[in-house]
Amino acid sequence: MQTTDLIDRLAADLHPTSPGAAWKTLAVALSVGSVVALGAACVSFGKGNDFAAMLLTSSLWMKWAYALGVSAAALSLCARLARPEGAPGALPFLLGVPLLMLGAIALMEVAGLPADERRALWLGRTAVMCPWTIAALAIPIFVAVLLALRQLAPTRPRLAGFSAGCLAGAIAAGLYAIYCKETAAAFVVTWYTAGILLPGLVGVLIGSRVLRW
Amino acid sequence: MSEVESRLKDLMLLSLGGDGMAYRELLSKLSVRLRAYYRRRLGQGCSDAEDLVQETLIAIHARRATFDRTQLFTPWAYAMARYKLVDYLRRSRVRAAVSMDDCEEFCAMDETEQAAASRDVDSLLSRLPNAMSEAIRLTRIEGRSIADAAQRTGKSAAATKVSIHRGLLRLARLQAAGALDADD
Repeated sequence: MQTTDLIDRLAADLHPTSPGAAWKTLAVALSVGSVVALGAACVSFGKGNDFAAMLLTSSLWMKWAYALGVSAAALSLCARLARPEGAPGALPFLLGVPLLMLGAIALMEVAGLPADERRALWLGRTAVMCPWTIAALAIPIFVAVLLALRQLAPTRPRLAGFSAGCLAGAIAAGLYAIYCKETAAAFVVTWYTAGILLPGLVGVLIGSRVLRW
Repeated sequence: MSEVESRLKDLMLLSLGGDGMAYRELLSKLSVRLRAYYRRRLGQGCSDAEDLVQETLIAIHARRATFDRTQLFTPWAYAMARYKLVDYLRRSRVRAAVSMDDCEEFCAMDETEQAAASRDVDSLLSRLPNAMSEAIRLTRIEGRSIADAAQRTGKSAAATKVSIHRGLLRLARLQAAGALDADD
């Protein structure tokens, strides 16, 4: 096909584009993915704990604050990388801020405790399954975000995949918090972070293949 | 801000609002720039440059929502063009890797063996009458067509075919005799 013919065709296919269209694509993906993840959590964990009582515990708010902080950082990185000229700048380091803050809280928490108590606090009762559950809950969100990114224009696919994975992992961590009975900051900073990084690493590995356009 | 940037950005903003005329003008202007860009990177003769121009125009069209109206236009369009170039080079490097393997294999052929083989062919051909050896050399070794060989030797195509045929038969006989000699 001649390039002039192509231009005619593309011009005939032009529809007005709203300013927030790229954000909307990401937002729809996040909503759909999160609803599916929440549904999956409801089905597998049942009604779980008494939600009203949990809302009064500080540990739920700690987990939510952590999940929200990581989600916000990951979303801003993801949205930046969805544009072709988007350079990550300092945004990847922003992901480390909630981690450092919670890490500091965890250190204060365990300081002065004897080693076996420290260990008990750190491992809790669910250390083994926690990261895997978060990663599993992240799958629908992760897939939705990757599909959204494929419609946008990421030119750094590995980093974009990483941001999508961390974003999905952080939202999944927030959902998992509703069902999680652990209370220690040391637990959350280790095992929740592992659950967030797992999809992040998968994103690095598959990004260059999945996010090609 | 350069004049090009402000002109192109104005067109882009109109296009995002649905102005088809502005969009056509934008894509035409972009295609000129893209063509120059890809030709400069890939060399004038590269036939893939125009494909890349079209691929990039399609990508710009399909992904125009990723343009942030508060940002400059040219870095956005250039990032698209650059991505398509990098993608193309990665794809063609795979192809180049294959052809480089072929080249190594080609270079790795034993030269003495090759020289000996061509010496053998020369000595066998020298034992044929001139017309036959010339016809075989032109067609079977240099790879010319019958018509081309006929023209060069000044004979008809039919006569050339006969020369080749008879020559090959005689070569086969010579070689068989040579093999017997070697057995002795």
